[in-house]
Amino acid sequence: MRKPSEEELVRVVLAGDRTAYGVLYDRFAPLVRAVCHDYTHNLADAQDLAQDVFLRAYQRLGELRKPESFGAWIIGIARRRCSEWRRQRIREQRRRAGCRADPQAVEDSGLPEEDGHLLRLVGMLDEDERLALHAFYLQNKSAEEARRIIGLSRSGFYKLLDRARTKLRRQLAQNQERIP
Amino acid sequence: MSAHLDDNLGKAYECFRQNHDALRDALTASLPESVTHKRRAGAVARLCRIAGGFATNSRTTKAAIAAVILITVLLGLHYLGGSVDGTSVAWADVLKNVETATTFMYTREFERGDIRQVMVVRVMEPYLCRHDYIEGGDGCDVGIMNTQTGKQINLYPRTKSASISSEEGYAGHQFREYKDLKRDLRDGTERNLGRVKLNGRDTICFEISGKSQTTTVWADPNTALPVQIESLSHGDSRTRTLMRDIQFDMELDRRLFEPPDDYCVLDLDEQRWTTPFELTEKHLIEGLAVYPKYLDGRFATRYIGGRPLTDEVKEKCQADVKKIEGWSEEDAHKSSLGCAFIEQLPKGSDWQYIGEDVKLGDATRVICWWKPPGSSTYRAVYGDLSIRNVAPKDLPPIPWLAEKK
Repeated sequence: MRKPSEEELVRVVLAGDRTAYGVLYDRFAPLVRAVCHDYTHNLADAQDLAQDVFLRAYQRLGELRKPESFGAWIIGIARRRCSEWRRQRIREQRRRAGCRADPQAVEDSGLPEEDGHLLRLVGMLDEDERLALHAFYLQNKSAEEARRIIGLSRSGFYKLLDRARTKLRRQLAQNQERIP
Repeated sequence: MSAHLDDNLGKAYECFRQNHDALRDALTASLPESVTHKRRAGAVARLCRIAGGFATNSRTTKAAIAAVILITVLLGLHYLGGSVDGTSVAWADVLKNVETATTFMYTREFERGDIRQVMVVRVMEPYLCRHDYIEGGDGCDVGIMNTQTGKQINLYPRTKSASISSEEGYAGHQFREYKDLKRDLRDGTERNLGRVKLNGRDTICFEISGKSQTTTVWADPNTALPVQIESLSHGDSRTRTLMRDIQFDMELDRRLFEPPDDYCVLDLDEQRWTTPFELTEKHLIEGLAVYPKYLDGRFATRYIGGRPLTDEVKEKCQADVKKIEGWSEEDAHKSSLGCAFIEQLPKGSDWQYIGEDVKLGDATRVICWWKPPGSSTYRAVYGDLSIRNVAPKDLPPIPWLAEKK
């Protein structure tokens, strides 16, 4: 059976069917969590933020001009929400301690060490490279799906994915060298 | 890329699917019944509907129809729309004055339940807004919003300091409230209540009914300028907003919308201070001295660095934070400037903090040190807050590194 498109799902939600929003959630929530994780470096916070992002998106769904671009739209909301979260956090830290968030204050990521380390390295890539990796691995390694969400041509997406992987491989190699 | 890395990435990304079903159920259960359709019908479409809803898909035709209707309405308002009781001021005149003002100043009283705020608001069209709290400011004295740059500025006159961020704060909210008010006045249905005395002054009163609130406007009968506006919301959270002492098109100095020159300014996005003076050791000492006041006479567990963060250290830091939570604005500012001094030290300054558990006044214990540019010795701060030059070999061992050995 053909999967309903994002455009169709958005229209059904706008017509009052909340279950269709659950389908959009299934399709995009892992990706939104990954985007949030780039900012929070902590899985629990990323999950909380992603819930908030989906709630906000639902409340603003009527403003979405191109329902077929739901994926890109919700990623934009996630980035803005995460920037807001980060500013709130910095301000809170400053209010509490009167000084800059300590760079050494790395918190527990809530992930197994190896996964956490790998995702931290992914988090150090450029934003578009990160998104390419997130979309690729969270859309079951379907380059076609991933490039559609990001809004790139096929060749553009492969180029970006390749660049992200090369950088990641280099970073991993450098880290290996540092370990005695 | 090796298959190994590909597998590892695939595995790492699985964490973003954790608890997915439970999270989806929680979200869908919390969704409102239906999506709000916020995209409003355009003015043209609305006017077309008023005109009888004849169907046309041509934009030009729609625009032409809208223009004809608009002109008719405006002419009607101008020639026929005078007040019902024969007063000289029509609502259209008042509205026009509100719409065309380039500067706008008023005292705003806001009440909802136990909350009461009073502030003076200044608006300089098209993108600047400033509010000065008189009552209920919750720590902030002045807020400024520049919607062109997207920057919110908060001023704290007691410490002559300011913060700038990209996040919209209360001043941005005020600016939107002002824009919303103009929209409500434009879109609502008005009723002329005739001549009314307001604090002994003659006014013409209008009531504007909107979807969620009723607004009353008292206007000067000679100038058609509003002198007071009151909005009452109908919803669950009943609020009252009163705008009094309204002035239009007065001189406003642009400098009112920027931090004064003698203020220390913290850019919250960049986490960088700009100070009108050079930061010196004195600022660091004043910053360090704040903590013993709140921590039973001892210095902070960490201060821009210190013992590596283990669970134990985190707990101790949190206990510190609890104790200093209620500190004064002045002390928070001193601490910030001390941190700013450290942050602006050049690379290679070797800043080190080891003041954890050192008591204020202990002249035998070092709490921190750094190396000034070009110097062969370190500047070391002791528990009595004295600063001495110390040769590298005479610096005390870093406790947690010594423990390891």
